[in-house]
Amino acid sequence: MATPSENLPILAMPRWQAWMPWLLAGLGLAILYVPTFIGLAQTIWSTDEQGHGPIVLALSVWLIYRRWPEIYDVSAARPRVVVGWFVLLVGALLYALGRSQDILLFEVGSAIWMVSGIMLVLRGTRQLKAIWFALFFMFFMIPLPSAVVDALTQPMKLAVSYVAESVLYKLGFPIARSGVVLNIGQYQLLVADACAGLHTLFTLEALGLLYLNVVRYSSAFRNIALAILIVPISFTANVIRVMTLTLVTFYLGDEAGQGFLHGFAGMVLFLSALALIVGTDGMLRLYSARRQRRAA
Amino acid sequence: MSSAVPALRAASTSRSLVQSVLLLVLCAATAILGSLLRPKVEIGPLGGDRLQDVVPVSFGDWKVDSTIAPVLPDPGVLRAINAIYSETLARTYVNSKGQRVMLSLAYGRRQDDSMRLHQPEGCYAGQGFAVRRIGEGRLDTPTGGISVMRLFAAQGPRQEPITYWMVVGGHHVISQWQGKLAQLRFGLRGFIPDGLLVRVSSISGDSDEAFALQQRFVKDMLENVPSSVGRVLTGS
Repeated sequence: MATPSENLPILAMPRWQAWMPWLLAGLGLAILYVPTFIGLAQTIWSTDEQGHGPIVLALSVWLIYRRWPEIYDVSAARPRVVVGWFVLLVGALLYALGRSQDILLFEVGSAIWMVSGIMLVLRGTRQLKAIWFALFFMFFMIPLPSAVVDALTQPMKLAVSYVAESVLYKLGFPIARSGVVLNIGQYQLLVADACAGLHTLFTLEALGLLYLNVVRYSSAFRNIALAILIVPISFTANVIRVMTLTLVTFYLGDEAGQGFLHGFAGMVLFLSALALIVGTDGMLRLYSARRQRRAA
Repeated sequence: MSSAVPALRAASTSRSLVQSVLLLVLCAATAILGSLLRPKVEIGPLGGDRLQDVVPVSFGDWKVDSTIAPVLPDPGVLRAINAIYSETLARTYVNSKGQRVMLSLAYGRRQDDSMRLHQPEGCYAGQGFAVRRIGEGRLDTPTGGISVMRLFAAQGPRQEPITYWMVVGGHHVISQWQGKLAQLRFGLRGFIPDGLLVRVSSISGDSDEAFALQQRFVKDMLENVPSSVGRVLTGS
């Protein structure tokens, strides 16, 4: 049984008064973002490149839900109304501009501002800090502007083609490269946009960070090192994928390279990325353990 | 103490309630503002004209080279082109000295996020060319001159210097960033601009000579079309 003093608030205010503010705020968010997410689902979220968007959205909601008891506790509320409304107005402006002018960066990005503002107005700084990772994670949900994608994709494609060619050439294969076209034996392969791995990079980085956040390593060194190393890991995984496809085409012919085995190469990509992440994590553990032993 | 705590909680809850009603109002107002600001009117200087009628098949010393059957891009590329543009035109012109210049126009009726001009850098590199950006240049026109972007694309033995510019809603632009700004300027006033990409190229290893030839071609073309068409092609 609860003590009388804990029972009193329930008598003093009906339960609906406690969750009503959240319901209204949630309704407000739904008015803004349900149309946005429906639009995204029909367009870029159904493509391979940005397919991770809905997963990131669901994970962000889950990350907030995990901290819900902490957020819901009204006795810890220290609302920051002025700062909160400033943040909300910035978010609203970004949304109106982004929604009307088709700037997804603003339209989707405004959600981070709106959720932060709601948290400040209804609860306070402490509860905002409690969900910082969910808010940060939402960055991965924002579709990159096509100008940025275009600017990064070309150099990455060239680099992937260059490394794949160099490695296979050193291994003695009859391979030559012109731009992003690889010639091996009698076959010619064009390294496509997807092979650049820009989106693989973002998906892997998002999943890697989620892994780190959930596992909660105490060592900051290991966290930061792994988060940074995901970038070269993703690049290496893409090189391995392109080399796999090249060799499949070389030994089994064009049909195999473009058919079933093309999808298989995608799995090679994620498996090799996973293996590289686990391997790197293991090496980091050994290294930091040795460092600690030396320090002791 | 024990009676002050619930009073405090009740007060902060009712304050939260007021705040959340205001929040809902803000969200609804933002949603309405977002749809009111959405541009609805399409504007385009090309109007109903078709690209093939805009540029004559022969002008000055130039005429369409009918001996060259146009090479169609592969189906994948063609699908991408049709998704991006409302209309495209590709022609090879030849002059009395036998010099050939390829003219490519790509027109998109709506320049918004779903459909926008793609720069030749991407198109050529995407098809396996090694593309080098030579930089910005000036091109003489009958109305004074325009700035253009110059590229050098190579794939095996094929070397192709390229001159291009874009026109978004009648405004001359040479970068995607400038195009986006022009689109935004129109968009905030309720208009959806159109977009035209003009690309001129020739097969040559000597880029200086090729760019001079392309300059001559563009100048001849603009001198032989009505000034209204010239404005459509170069923007202002």
